[in-house]
Amino acid sequence: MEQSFDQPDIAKIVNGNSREFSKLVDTYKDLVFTIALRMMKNRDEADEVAQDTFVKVYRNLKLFKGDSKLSTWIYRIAYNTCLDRLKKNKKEQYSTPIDEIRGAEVAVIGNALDALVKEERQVLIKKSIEKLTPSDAALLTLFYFEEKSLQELEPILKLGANAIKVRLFRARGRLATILKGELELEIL
Amino acid sequence: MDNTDELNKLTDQLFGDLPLDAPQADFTTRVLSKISTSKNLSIIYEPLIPKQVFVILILLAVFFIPYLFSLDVGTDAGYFSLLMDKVAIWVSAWSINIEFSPSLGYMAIMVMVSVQTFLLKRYVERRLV
Repeated sequence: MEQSFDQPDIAKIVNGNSREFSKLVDTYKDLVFTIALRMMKNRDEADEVAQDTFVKVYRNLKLFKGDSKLSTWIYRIAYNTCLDRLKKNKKEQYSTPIDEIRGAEVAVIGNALDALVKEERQVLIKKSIEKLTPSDAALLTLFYFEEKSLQELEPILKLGANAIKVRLFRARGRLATILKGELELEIL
Repeated sequence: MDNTDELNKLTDQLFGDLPLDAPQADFTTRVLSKISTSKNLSIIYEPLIPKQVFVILILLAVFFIPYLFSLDVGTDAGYFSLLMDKVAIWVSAWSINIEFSPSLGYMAIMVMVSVQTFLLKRYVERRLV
């Protein structure tokens, strides 16, 4: 999911170059909006949160020390802005219980997905991600945005590598359970 | 049965298939206008200490400092030593057994500065990110 792009010039943005900042927004807007949408579950709210994220990025860019990737720093701001908004809205963190899903069942889900048309498959996956809790959805999304690097995820989630591994396993299990339910509905 | 590998493979497949969601086309323009609007707004500073506390502190200072200077110490030492001596007299009047010296005063100031720096740093950091 990583995009290829020209890195914006941070020094120029700090000096007030709005054209350079709009380059930064254009570069990261889809990634930030995707995180926001998967956590907020609502396009309008996701749009607002994504805007707030970039306002915070602009205001705090002079504090960015470069000890992590710029994208990691932006994801961290996006993730925290979403959490703040969810806390403010007191949204419920509904969670699907993890049914023990067997390896064979997972393979069946994979095959069933392969049998679907690409667009149908994408709709089904999006619908399933929507049913995950904001933290599970963020965790899985960020894991793939960060090219599966637990080291990059640690500062974003403020968790150790082992804790992230455990949460990833549970989130994957929940997603598979939800997907299985969605597929059954689709087939019926 | 351990299904970790199958689950990993499935989620790789799911997320590999998924395109990114895009906001509305004018998103960047709206972000820039939001930033320029907030820049034009005058910054409202919220004091860390409420107004009432300030008034009480000023009143205390107004009444306490002249009282300290009214105490007779009878020395030609520096201003800070003089003040510390007066504080010592005032404290001894309350039967508290502390030996006052300029070093103790400097130390108290250092402690206060350190505590306030720590609190201020934490406050600023909480406001960021």
